[in-house]
Amino acid sequence: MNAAVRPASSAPRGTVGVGARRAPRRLALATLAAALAGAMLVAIGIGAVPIAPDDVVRILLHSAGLDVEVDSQQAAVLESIRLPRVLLAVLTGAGLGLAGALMQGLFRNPLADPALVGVSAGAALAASVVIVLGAGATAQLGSFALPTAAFAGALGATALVYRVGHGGGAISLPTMLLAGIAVNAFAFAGIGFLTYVADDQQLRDLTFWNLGSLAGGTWPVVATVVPFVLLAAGAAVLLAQPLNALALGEARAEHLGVHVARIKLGAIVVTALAAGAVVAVTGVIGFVGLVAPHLVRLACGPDQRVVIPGAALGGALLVVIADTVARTAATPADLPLGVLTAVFGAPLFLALLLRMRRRLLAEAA
Amino acid sequence: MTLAAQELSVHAGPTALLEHVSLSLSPGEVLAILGANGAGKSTLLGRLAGERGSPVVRTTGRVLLDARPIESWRPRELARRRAVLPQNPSLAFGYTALELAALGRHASGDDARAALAIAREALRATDAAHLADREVPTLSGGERARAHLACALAQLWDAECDHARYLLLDEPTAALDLAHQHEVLGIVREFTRTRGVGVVAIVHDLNLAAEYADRVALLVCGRLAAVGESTRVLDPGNVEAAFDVRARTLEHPLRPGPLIAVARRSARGVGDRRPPHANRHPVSAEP
Repeated sequence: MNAAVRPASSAPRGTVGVGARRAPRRLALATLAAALAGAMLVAIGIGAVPIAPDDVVRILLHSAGLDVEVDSQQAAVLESIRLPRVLLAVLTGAGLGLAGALMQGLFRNPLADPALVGVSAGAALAASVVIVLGAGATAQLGSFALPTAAFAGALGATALVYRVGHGGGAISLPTMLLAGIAVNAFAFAGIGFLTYVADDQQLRDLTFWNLGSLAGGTWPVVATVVPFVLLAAGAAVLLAQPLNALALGEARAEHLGVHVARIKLGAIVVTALAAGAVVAVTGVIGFVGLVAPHLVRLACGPDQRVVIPGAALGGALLVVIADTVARTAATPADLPLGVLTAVFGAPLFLALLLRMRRRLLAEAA
Repeated sequence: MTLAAQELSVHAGPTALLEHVSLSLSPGEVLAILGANGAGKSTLLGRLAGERGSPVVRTTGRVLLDARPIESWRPRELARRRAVLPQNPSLAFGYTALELAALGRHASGDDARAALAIAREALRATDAAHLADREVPTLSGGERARAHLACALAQLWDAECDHARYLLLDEPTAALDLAHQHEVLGIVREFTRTRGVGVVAIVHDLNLAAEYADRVALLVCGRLAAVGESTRVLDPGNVEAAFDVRARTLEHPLRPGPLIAVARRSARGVGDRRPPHANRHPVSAEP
């Protein structure tokens, strides 16, 4: 290097600020997991028949085959009502959190959410079609008919929104959100039509999708959703590091050795898998997929290797808490969970928009 | 072992972005690409990087990396052999400079700890070690440019390596102040010498190119007007033809070699010898 220019490099070069303050990753994930376990214990105990947390543990040990004394009524309530419902809450939150984190990584934008951009609506429309018109599909596939249809609907909606919002290697946020509005409008029009032609029994089933609820939380439902969410979680972990590279844009990710086309397809399929399966049994529950990854990113930074598992744990935690509130706030009524998450999620989304306003205006101009 | 373009032509409809460009780069060498806006510099760099370009452009000719067509390399193998720094690098979310530099190790197979260690060294090399824990969006333009350069250097960092490596830089000095322009090109040249990496850099400053490049290539309207040693290629005639300015070479007062002085060509000047092909390219379709 030229000695003559060397000293100049020690000239003042911008402010030396404090580094980004971030929670240690393992600690953050462990804390989330512990909080989730605690919330599950408490949630299982709350309800018309209260069960203390130590009794919950005792009953769980009893059903695991250990010789512990338990109250048989409490045990029956826990095993047939509370446990499946809380487990469904965990799966729902984890699925939506995963879907949100993957979409935000794929769209390179923290405002992507499965409900917002029409992925959940696409899933709900396909599931509604099966409920009202698809007696044959139900006979063929049994309990997997709904999740499979919802997966296909979610896949179609994600691919469509991505296709429309994507141009010249970049994602346009306004276009993505507007495409989401169109998909939502179309899907809810379809659901409205199906509601109109549905018979009484079908109508009762359909009301799920309008409001979003975990009231259908039974063991068979849990068993149906588990494989979808586990598969999505496993695949999402593999996508984490490539999605980090994708934050640099598609061309640059390709330069770094990422097989971009494959990763984009993978992210779309896994998003649809997680969101579709959840929507099939719970209906549209908004904002969990938006908020969970956002909170993890605030605490731990944007590394997808933390955001993805963190969003799954955090989403599960949020839904377990929200569902406990939904079913106990106005007992014996069971408030629709989707209404509750929207009441808290929508203002949060607005706050996020306000924070990002300047950048959004610049992009829209 | 070379990175070579052979008879490379790129057309967007009837417009030629590149015409019959043949050029090769060896490991350990710095090649600067010079030319007016729209001369095809970024298009050429993109093809050398293995990009296919937008579907509306038609590419003929070949780019060979170590004698193999560049599109036949798998993304991961290719990423271990060539790194690219784009002109306006963007980054979504608030990754820190350290995390950004570590992304350069994506194809290396390093574990997270090894990747971070190399990322730190790369940041040190670009005089950005003190920025490691800062979020990239909060950095100034020059700081951000050095963090992104560190990412590209980290990609080719391995000291021991059994294959040739190439670093492609699209205007690496654009966002930098004078001192950092020299600093960064010095780092890049050092990198070529110590690690045997071949560098192609688009540079706008003729004197910077003359000082740091082993060879320069001059593009005029998509054609390779000249390639070779800077003293030969950057003679006043070539510079005047390529950039539509007046040019003289003097002896540089501070270092060996010529200083290229340029001034605006006066619109109604008597000595206006504008050659017919020296006009700006009609299409500025650099992707």
